[in-house]
Order: sequence, then C-alpha cells, then structure tokens
Amino acid sequence: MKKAFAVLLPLVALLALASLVIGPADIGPIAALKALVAGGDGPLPLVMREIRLPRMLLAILIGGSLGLAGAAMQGYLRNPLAEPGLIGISGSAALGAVISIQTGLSAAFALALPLMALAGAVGAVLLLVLLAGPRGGSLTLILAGIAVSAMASALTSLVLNLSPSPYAAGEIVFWMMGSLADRSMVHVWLAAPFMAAGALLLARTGRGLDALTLGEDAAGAMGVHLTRLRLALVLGTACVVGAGTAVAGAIGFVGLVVPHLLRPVVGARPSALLWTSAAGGAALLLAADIAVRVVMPDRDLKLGVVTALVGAPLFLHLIWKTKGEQA
Amino acid sequence: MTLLSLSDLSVTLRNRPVLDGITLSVGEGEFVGLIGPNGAGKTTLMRAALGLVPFAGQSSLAALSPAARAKQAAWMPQAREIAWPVSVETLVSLGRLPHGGGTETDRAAIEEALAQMQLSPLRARTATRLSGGEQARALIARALAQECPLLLADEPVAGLDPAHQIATMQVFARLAAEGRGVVTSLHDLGLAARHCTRLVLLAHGRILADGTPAEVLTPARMAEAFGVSIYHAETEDGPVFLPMGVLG
Repeated sequence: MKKAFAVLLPLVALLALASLVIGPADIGPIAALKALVAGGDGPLPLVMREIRLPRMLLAILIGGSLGLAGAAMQGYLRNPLAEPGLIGISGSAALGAVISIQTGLSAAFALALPLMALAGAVGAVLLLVLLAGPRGGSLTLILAGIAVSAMASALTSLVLNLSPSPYAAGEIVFWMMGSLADRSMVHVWLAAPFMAAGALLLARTGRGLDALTLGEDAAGAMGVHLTRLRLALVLGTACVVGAGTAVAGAIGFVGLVVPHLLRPVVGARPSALLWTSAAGGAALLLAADIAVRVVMPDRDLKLGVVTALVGAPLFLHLIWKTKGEQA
Repeated sequence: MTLLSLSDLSVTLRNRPVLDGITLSVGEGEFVGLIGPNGAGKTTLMRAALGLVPFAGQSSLAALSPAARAKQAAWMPQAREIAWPVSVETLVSLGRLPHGGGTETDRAAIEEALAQMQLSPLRARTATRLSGGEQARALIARALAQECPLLLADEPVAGLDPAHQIATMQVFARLAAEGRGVVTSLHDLGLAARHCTRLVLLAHGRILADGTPAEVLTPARMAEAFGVSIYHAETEDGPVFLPMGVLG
C-alpha cells in the first residue's frame, strides 16, 4: 500500500501541475504558476485562479471520489464488476440536471443545475434506503439500484423525447457526456463539502469491507454491523457521486477500472484499496482532462467520452489477462 | 465456567420450525461434536447461538454486543468464502480484526494459527488459488487467530485429506485441553468418537442425545437418527465407530 502511494501521490502532484500549465490561453508555465500564487491585476491571475485552478481541483476531487466509491462498492458487493453508478445515484443526479436544463432553470440561475442534480441524488438515496432497508442484503441493494437506474434513465429519455427544440436536446446530450471545462470555484465549494462528508463515511468502511472478504456470516460474527456498513456505503457513495455528477456530469469507467487495476498492487485487501484507488482515480481523471485539452483543443472533446475510450480497452485487456490465468 | 448457554432456543424460518426448545451449555475444556442428519438444524443452532438468525429463547452469546461477542466466540461458516485474491497470511490476519490488529500480540496469534494448520509454507500464496482443502485449512486458521474462548465451526473437516482431518481434530482437542471450548458440526462419526469429549445428537430440530461419545453413539440412536447400523469396537488406539449399512 505504501509502495503504491509512493508512486501515485507524486504522479497526482505532477499531473496537477501539468493541468495548471496546459490550456488554450498561451501562457508560459513559470508565468502561469507565478500568477496563480502571487495574484495581482490583469487577465493572467484571473485565468489561473478562476479557470484552471477549479478545473484541476475538480479533477482531483471527482476522480478521487469515483476511485474511492468504486473500491468501496466492489468491496461491499464482493464483485470486481461493481461500480458507483450501479446503485442509480449518478443516473438520478443526471435526471435532476437534465430537468433543470429542459425547464430553462439552469439558464435563469447558474447554480440551478448542480442543485437540481443534488436533489435528484437525494431522491435516489431515499428510494434506495426505502427499498433496500435495514433487513436487505447486498443482492437487494443491487436490485434496488438497478430499478432506480432504469427509472432515472427512462425519465431522462422522456425529457429528451419531449424536448421542445433540438438545441435543448443537444445541450442535454452534451452535458451528459461529462466535462470539467468552464467550471468555477463556486462549483468546487459546492461539491467539496459533500465529497468530504462522503469520503469520511466511505473511509470508515475499511474494517467492515476487510471482514466481508470472508462472507456476510463470518463478518457479522466478527462484530461488523452489516446494516450500518450498508448505510454508510450508500450515503457515502451518494454524497461523492451525487456531488461529482452535479458539477461535472456523468463520468464513467473511473470507478470501475481504477480499483480493478490497483487491486493486485495492494494485495487485494479491500481497506488498503480504498485510498490507493482514490489516488489512482485522481491521477486518471487529471490525465484524461489534460488529454481533452491537448488532443483536440478546438473540438471541445468531452471528459466522459475520453474516460470511457481509455477505460474500456483497458478493461478488455484486464479481462483478457484474467482469462489467460484461468485457462 | 460456562462459555455458551442456550435455553429453550427455538428458530422458525419461513414458517417452518427448524429448532425447537434447545437447551444446551458448553463449558471450558469441552470439545463438543454436533452430529445429526442433513437438515437436522446443526448450522441453524450455531448461527442462532451467535445471533445471526432471529430466534426465540435465550442465548448467552447473542445477548452480548457485536464487538464483545467477536472476542468471546470465533465462527467458521460452512460456506468457504474468500472474495478477493489475498495472500494466505492476510486471510488469517483477518481473524485479528475484532482485536484491532497490527500489534505484537496480533502477529504472534497469526504465526501460531499458521503453524497449527501447517500453513507456513503456503503463507505467501494467493488464497483463492489454493485447493478446496487448503482453503478450508486457511479459514480454520483465520478462526483460530481470533483466539476466542469459544470456537464454533461448521463442518470444518469436510473436504480435508485424512491426515489434515486428524490434525485439525487434534488442534481442536488441544484447544479444549487448554481450557477453551470448541463446538463443531461434523458427519464423520469415527472422528467424532475419537476426538470429541462430548457429542450432541440433533434430529428434527431437537436434541436426541447429549453425552460422551459412547453414550450417544448407540445402535438404537444411530438407527433412529440416521437410519444406519453401526459397527463399534474398542481397540488399543481408542474406539472405532463405523456406519455399516442403511436400515430398511
């Protein structure tokens, strides 16, 4: 675990630095960092502090929370194919956002979109807790999550279907692809408290997740409170994923691929994977967000598209490797 | 001292009575073999005692807080689940979770458990890639590492080779001799007779017999509970019990 951090943390720092100095505005790296730290008048400090800094911070926050929530979800469900989106939080947050675009609320009031998305996430959590209440097992949680996901995606399609103009539909589709472009510090301050609360809840699941390696029965007999663990997992995931989707749209594959990729590095212990996976998620999203700006700077490539484009082949490669080992 | 006491314990699952009025107590130094036909309620008895299934009546273990219970009794379920490809050593170290883990005492307990189940050569191997019997030994070692006054194990020796079956029974007998208590369900009547200090025969959710192996393993009771005839001989190396044939 320490070995993984020794590689991942400098990598995150390096990518964060790169994220700050790469952008459409033609600024030298030294001048850029100087303007960021020293401030002052003129457009340079403004670009650094109000455009690039929030973008970098959000990449770390969202990537980190997707990695963390993915590791916790896989650990709880004891399934390497689980991901934070499985329980329907991101879909419901997206529904809230889509409704705010459709009704014109987001045009009238800038923060309407993230706030409506958060409301969508809260609605999904209430439904989940109701469906997979105190007596439900992990299977009930998956089934409830799939039901909530399907419902949210159907309602999102309905909104698109009833969309009055192709422009609104286009805006919705582009928003759903996920992006960190043109976000401000307000978005950071909006997401950060939820993410901190969620991360705190998820970080405390480590011991319970370790015990669950032996199954629910053995974990229960080892003093793990399974109901409390499930509640912490659902609420923690809802906080981090809901806030992430609210400010950046749906970004897939990070929560699925990163824990899977890093599991062998930490010796497969679920508690060790939590923070390692958070660091890995931050690194991956920073890299993807840099790629978005470098590869096609004038085409507004969406972040969610890149993570899926990078994630899916990586995942295929992993499956290919596992297949080879089992044969 | 009593390590476990159940009084008038009944369990009904999906409107079907599984256990009915079980009263049982296990003290220090006892190695109790829980025997009985499939579906007699052996697993449910142990799970109810631990408070893992809803029940009526009293169980001294289930009355404890989850944290206190985890220090009083270790539980090895029948389903041998190992969800992640952790090393054998990591798997065994999970037994120290209720104690915190990471201290000198924890390290010593893990080493001791690995040695007792003869797992030291396998300690760095990935647990999910071991054979079924080796996985069972690793899971027994995990329960041993928990170092509780009472050990409950559900068919721990099923699937082990003869040498490891005997070695495991000897480890359990030694724990009992040191003053701890062990309750294990098993189907091998010969092993039960040779190693357990006491047998509890369960059938149709009730205790049919409770006593020393010789008292419990009578031809009449074996016929009633299992429907088999049994061969019994006393040898220089101890008693031999062998089910011979299925009765009409």
